Amino acid sequence: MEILSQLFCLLVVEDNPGLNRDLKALLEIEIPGTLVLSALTVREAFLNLDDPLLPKPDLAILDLRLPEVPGAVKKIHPVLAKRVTELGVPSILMSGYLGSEDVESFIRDRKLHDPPVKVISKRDPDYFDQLQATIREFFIHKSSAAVEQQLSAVFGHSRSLAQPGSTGTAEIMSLQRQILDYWDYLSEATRTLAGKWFTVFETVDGQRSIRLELPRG
Amino acid sequence: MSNAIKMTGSQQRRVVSVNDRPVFELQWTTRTGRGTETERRNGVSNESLIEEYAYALQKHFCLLTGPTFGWNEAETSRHTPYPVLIRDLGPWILGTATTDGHQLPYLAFSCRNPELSQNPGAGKRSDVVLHELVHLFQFQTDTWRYWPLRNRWGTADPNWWLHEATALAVEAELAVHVSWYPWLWTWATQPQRSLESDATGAMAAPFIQYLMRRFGRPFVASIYRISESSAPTMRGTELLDAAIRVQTTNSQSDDGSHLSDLFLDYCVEAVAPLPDQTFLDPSITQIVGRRLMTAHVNELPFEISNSESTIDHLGCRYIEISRPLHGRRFKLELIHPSTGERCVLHTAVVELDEHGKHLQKTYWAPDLCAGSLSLILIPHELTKSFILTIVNIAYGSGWERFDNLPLQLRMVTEEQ
Repeated sequence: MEILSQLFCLLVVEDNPGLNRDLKALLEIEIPGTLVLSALTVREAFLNLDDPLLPKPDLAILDLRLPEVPGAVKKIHPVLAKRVTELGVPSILMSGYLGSEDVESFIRDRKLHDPPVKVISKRDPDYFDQLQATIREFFIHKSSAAVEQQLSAVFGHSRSLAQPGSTGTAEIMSLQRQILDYWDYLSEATRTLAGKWFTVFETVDGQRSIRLELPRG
Repeated sequence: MSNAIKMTGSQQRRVVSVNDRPVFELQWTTRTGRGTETERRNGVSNESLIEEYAYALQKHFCLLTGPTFGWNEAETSRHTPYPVLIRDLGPWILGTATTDGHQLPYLAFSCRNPELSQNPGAGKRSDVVLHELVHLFQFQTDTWRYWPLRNRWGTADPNWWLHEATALAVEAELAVHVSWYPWLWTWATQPQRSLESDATGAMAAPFIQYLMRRFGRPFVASIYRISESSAPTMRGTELLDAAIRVQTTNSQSDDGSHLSDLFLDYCVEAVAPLPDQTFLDPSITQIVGRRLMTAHVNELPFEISNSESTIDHLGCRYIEISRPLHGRRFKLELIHPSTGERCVLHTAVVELDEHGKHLQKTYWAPDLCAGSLSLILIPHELTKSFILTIVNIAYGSGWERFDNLPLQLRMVTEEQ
């Protein structure tokens, strides 16, 4: 497992083994640079969340009715949602039982205490497209915010960087790396902002490259 | 040295040559009162700024590639001149060297007038040029090109401390306007922290300067001249260790010194310099030397227990034992923490007279790696104090780093 090269980490908790496997495979293909951790039960989800060797997920996709352990009765486990909230991991909730009382009551409670990024019905025919679009949008928002924050830290007026001196090699190189890594997930507005300083281009061998430029216009 | 100016629309270019070889190409836009906000912010209104950068680039390039620093032709020359952008870099950054691993490295310097910059260092442009040139040369070397983690650029690179520390040390040797004090302060207030712990290089820069003064200024370039075959696998500490081995190994013997030996020497000199043979910047002992002390011992028995004092790898602690002794022999007892097969705490005791003169220096490298180790100290009649320096030398591949090691020390009179 190559964790270092991953930009994002998703945790998928889905008890249907076939769906779980398909979701993991599809998300890894459709959202490049994403490490997908998957769990079939609540206990397995906790093992993923609490493993110090695994990265903290950027986003959790939680099926609502789950067994605690393999073979156990499926039900809603508020304790899992609570743990995800404690870790500061935003979540997408999905269920095949939207409309049933226990599910709706749980969702109302989550909306009050820790609003989910989105609630998706697994019965919608386009539910995977919805899921994929929501995740992508979430990552674009997150990456763009991170890059804009770093642009401001390096070039803005409120300096909060490590280097106390006046040379900017470390900061500018770190920023260049960040922009290149997240380029596919940056909003147009963030790309325009970064473009005030940097030009991102393809090299002759098809690699993406970045450089400071003299500004145009 | 010759210069040429080319005009391309509002963009200006000027080639800076050294020994008739074009080495840099400065690129900038001229600021006029009528341009867009971007043009006004990034433009150069006063050509003397270009003169200043051109002069500094020529001067420092000659210095660094000359015999004094010894960066060689292959490390610094290229077919086309290095681009040097003069543009706005925000209110704080005066200069940068950069590369992305695909293109050749280049430089950028701020076009801001001193009064527009929030950086009080405006006016020290020449010093910034010097610092960035060192980075530029680093990026040209095989060491950097093959660096295994080079895709983790800048502060994300765990070895970045070395690149910054070498650039800072060169800057400290030559810079006119830069105060060395903030850099010293970082180390002086927390010598127990690892040299590697600070990506700004401030923790390690005084040590690199010490090595440069001990082995000569070309030592910095030599760190980056480790053979191509070994460079890809090496960490910053291993590069430094290998460069020290090259300096200290001769044809008769391959029993040269290691980074750990030099680090202990450096730590000892920082508080107890030899009067006629010190390789340290005098300000280190004058300004910060005494601040480094972890403890002053005035009476016995004395004890430091587990949780009070810790040492990270490539960090040090000092204990000053001042005249509670009244001519009595006393025993120093160090409990070596459990670190497997490796003895990671090395010590030296320096005996000083009332004028700070060295009476004796004793190195004490324990040969047992756990348990109690003791040393009998016998004060000379002129002895004013003993200074005990303890370093943690856990570094290098194949060895686990031991950080936050608890220090357990006990001092008693011999009869106790």
